[in-house]
Amino acid sequence: MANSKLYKGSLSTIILKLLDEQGKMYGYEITQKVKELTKGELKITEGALYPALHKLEAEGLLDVEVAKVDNRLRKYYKLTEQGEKETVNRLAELEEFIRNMQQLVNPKWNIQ
Amino acid sequence: MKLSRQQINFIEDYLIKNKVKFWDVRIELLDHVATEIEDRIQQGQTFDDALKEIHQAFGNKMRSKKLNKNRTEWIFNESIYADNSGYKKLIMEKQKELNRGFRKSLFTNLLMVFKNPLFWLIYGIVGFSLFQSIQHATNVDFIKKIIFLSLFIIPAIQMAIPFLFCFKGSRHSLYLNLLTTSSLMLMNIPNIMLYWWERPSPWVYVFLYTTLAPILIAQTLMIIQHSKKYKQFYLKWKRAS
Repeated sequence: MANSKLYKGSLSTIILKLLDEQGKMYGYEITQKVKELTKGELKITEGALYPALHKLEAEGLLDVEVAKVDNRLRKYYKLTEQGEKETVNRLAELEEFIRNMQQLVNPKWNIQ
Repeated sequence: MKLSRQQINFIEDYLIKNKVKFWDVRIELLDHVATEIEDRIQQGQTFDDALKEIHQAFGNKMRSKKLNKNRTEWIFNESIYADNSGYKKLIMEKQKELNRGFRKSLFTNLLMVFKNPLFWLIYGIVGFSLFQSIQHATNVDFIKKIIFLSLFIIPAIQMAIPFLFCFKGSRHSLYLNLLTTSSLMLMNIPNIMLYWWERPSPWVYVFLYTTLAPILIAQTLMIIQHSKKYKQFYLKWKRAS
């Protein structure tokens, strides 16, 4: 996607959704999963990913786990109980937003 | 292809040289850089080229310039150590989020303190005794000394709490650094008082007691909670390493 500003507001919701599906993930894995799901169209930059993860962690929506992988340590993120509830709310908000944007951009077309 | 111990150490040194000095920030970046390098090597890239590209992907530049000693000409530096603005920004963002979390936690603890009847009882008795002593000019100097000293001692105890909980893991941690910063700021209040007033009125001390006592209690509780949380994370890290 040429204009990365378009997804920045939804980045935390994307992260929450992925963690809800995958259980636990580490930073680099999240970037690769997004790239894979969008066939390379959407690339999350490292400079945007980590501040978003740290924000969600500070808000109490994410918990961390440390595991030894190969010859280094890996920090995994997973949803807290509060994070699971918040994911549902934020996804509903995002779907509503997409629906409204569709109405504005292409009033004849509807995703429902 | 998996990276060797030597290559991992090289990446860690590279991060330290780029001023990622806090271990709790570095472990995550080290794993990210190492995993991405492994992926890129798999795709045919060399270790050095992969590291250069990842360095830039984090928002760092490969080139920097500064004036020479005589300020007559520019000296150009082109390497992975030339600029660390991306990492600096990332650490600042994390710092901002941690501070926000601590403020939220302080506010929650403050509410908890205010909801506690025992706090109001002790606070009221001490406050009333202070008021009476100053009103009748008894032990005023003693009271002033006690309040003045407690403004030094309580923040000093707060700063010592994280070290008591997790002494070995307390060095170079961004989390603990920020957790104790607010106590350090509170310790400066007596200095500010002495700077502003040569001989502060006893009522200034009463004002300080009434406003700062709940904050100091809430802050101490907050520091204990977060020190415990940090210790858990540190032990997880220690067990895994």
